[in-house]
Amino acid sequence: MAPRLPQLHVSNQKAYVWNVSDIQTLRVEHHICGILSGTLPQVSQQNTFLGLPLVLLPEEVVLLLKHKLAVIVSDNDAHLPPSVSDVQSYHSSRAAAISTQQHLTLDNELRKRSLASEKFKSQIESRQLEKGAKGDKAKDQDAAFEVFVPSLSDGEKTTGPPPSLLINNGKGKGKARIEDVAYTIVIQPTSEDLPWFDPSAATFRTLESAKDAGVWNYPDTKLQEARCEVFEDLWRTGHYMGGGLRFGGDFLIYPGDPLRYHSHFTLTVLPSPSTPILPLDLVAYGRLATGVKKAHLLGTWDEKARKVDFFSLEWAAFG
Amino acid sequence: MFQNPSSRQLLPHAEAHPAQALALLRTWEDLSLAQQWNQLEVHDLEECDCTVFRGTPKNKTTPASVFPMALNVHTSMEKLRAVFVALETRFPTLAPAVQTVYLAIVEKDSSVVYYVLKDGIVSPLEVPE
Repeated sequence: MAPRLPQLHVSNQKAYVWNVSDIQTLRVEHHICGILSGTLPQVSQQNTFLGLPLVLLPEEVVLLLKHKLAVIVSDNDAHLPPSVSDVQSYHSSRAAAISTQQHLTLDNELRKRSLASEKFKSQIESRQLEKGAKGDKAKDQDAAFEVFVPSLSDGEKTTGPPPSLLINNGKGKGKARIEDVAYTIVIQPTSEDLPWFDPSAATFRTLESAKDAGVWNYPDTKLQEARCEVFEDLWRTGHYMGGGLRFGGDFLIYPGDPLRYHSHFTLTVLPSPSTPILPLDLVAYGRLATGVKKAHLLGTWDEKARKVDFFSLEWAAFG
Repeated sequence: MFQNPSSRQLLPHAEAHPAQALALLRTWEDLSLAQQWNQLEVHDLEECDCTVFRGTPKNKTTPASVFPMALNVHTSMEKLRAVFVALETRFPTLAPAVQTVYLAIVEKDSSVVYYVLKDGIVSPLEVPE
């Protein structure tokens, strides 16, 4: 049986990889890196560290399919409409999982509360005596907002959230209701476990078949073709490529894995050898590249001769 | 403009390639007087329909080629490739050196900036750590 090829889930002409071992295969075996573009649920208010899915450059997709290193899965067509019983079983199993979580959380919290009240009994009693001295009226008003936070013991940085915050009944006292207990939502990155996911009829192993089905149209213009050919030439010589937006180019060229090296080049692709370039553009490319310790590569694809051509451009640092 | 005895030799080249004329004059003046290059020579590349200079930079021993260009006159990869091929036939490089051309880009206000163009994929001199 043929080994499973990495799946590139295409949606709206963009390729995503959702399976972590596929991402590893692409990077380690085929030096295709892509960019992680998803939010990490537990550190959501930053974008330095991102998570699944991995987004691929269109040139990377073209290369992988051309060399039979991956397959395209049309996400829209691979997710079939679920049957009524599928929907019912999905919802009921989800509800059951949530309910189990809530019961476990509640039991845990009640146990913690009783332990805490035992441990800090003397402190609680002395505080209640203080409150008593202020008068009954004040006590009623305060009680609604009362949250008991134990003092820190030696070496502790935090005691964690107070028990009553996990049980959201607004008053912090009275019997906790199971419906108010908070639960965690787990997001499944792959659809493989869903009964209505079936990629068999929506998998494309060649660019032509994907184009015929209207799923993947890249490359479509001369410039896009030139980009694919130049990309492939650099890939074949062992370079790693990334997006070039940050340094004003089409791609960044790394001598090895981007996690280990800075890029040595920014690359601009010209659609053909006869495409006009202004020396003003050469000044812009060369000066920017030298300013960020790189060289600028001018690359083009000669359709007639079926070969790529490169020049390396730098500022001369005199004159 | 070409009255200076040194630049007078550029006149026929400037007339043959009017789009390069100002670039030729300014680059010649800058290289010979400001950058103080030695043994500066003019070379016509008939197959590329342009003129280049050849000289030795101050404090160096190996000669270098300079291609003067006007800032706003278009070039292309194939034109640059033709210049490289023409230079390789006249001044062949010995491995591991790669064919190198200094582009002297001249503005209408007479400022000259120099950029280095090398054949193929050549890592920058200052490689980032």
